[in-house]
Amino acid sequence: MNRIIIILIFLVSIGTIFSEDVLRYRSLTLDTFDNPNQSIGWEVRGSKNIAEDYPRVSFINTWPAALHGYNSDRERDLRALGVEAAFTQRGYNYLEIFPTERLADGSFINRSIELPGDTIGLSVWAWGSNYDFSLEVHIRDYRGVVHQVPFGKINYYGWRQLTATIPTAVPRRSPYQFNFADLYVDKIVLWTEPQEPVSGFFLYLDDLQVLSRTNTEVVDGGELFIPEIRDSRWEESSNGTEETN
Amino acid sequence: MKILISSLLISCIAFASFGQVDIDPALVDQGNFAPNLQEISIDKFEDAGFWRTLISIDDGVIQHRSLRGTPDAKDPLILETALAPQSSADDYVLGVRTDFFRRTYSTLSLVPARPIPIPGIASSLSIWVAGRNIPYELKILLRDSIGQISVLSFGKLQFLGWKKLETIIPPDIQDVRYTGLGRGLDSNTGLEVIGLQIESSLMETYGRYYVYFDDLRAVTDLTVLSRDPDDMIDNW
Repeated sequence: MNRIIIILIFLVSIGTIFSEDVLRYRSLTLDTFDNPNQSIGWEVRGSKNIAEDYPRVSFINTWPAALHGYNSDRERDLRALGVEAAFTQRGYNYLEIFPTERLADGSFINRSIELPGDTIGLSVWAWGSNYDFSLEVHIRDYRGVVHQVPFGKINYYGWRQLTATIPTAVPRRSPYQFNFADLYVDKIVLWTEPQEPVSGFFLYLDDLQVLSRTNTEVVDGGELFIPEIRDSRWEESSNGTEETN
Repeated sequence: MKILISSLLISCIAFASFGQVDIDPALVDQGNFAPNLQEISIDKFEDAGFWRTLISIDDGVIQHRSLRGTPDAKDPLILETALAPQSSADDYVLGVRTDFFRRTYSTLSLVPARPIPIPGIASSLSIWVAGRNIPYELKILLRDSIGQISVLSFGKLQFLGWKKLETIIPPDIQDVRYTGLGRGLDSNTGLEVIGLQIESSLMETYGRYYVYFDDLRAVTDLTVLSRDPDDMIDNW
């Protein structure tokens, strides 16, 4: 009996050490919100009943001490995304916090953030002031279907790391693409509840991260799945055809 | 005596007639009691992320997404930005696709992420639907101020392409709804949309079914929501 137990423990240990799945997990930062001049911008839009001159959004000089320490000497320019909003009516109001891309002329367009690899979940540091509000992230898959994945309530004081586990039913990648993720963050949504006052409140977000399992398979012709390479090959080919003609 | 009574009556009538003043109705300040019927948009189905679709796990698989487009025949709204200043964009519709496993009396549900309030006292609802000429029935679920749920039918979806479907909100729902109005101008105590439902037809429940939605509107009396500029806001 003891031999069987020892053999079983040995096999489990071997399985754990050499399991590829365990080794492939990676945590990647999507945005630290530290650089206001970065290419990814963030805009906030209020639902119906948003109060005049709201919402306000800015990169505020604050950070979770649990993440960066107290940074009292301000060696690093640490910032967080700050949002201030108010609504004229209580109810199920919402704020859409969505990523944008800065164009060459300085303007912004909506741009979803691509999630690398097979995404397990997302995490974000959120500052709460005990309002019974809910935070969720909208994930779009390759079919264009949007999934609402909850981060949870922000009814606490100060900074806390919230996590959102993406259900396994959400397809991570297109069956017609090899080795490339096809999952995007469309927006982060904050919902108010009817029982809570909405005369004015703040929200801060920092360090949006993704936990994913990156795939390192190799296939013959895999480069043709990379849009940039594919497009350049087609362009070269069409240029060549024109010259020939 | 008779002559006296008759002359008195005639003099009274004459006095009443000459005493009348012609009042121009336009000049009368009707205050908060004048009906203010407006057609407003409740939801334009711009973002599929604010809706969920459901079907019984035995019956099939359902999915929904936003698609760019809009019905060409849709009338522009007169009162567009007053209630939704930041959501006046109208670029997308909501597409729902269902893959049935078997023939059955199934219900396809389309549920908003949170109940959507209908401001004022609504008298009718309309929605644009792109049908596929299949005789399924579209219904809307409303919840009034005391939590009573009503199911109203928009009719059959037996048409091809975009069509505006309308339904009247019956007075019995309205009577219940009046009780909630005293709670305050800013409370969403009135009617709420809690979902749309498509009831399938047994002979047509097979294969793949597509349907598209755009612009749920209400004709509603906004008098109860009108406020003076110096009135206070109950959002605290």
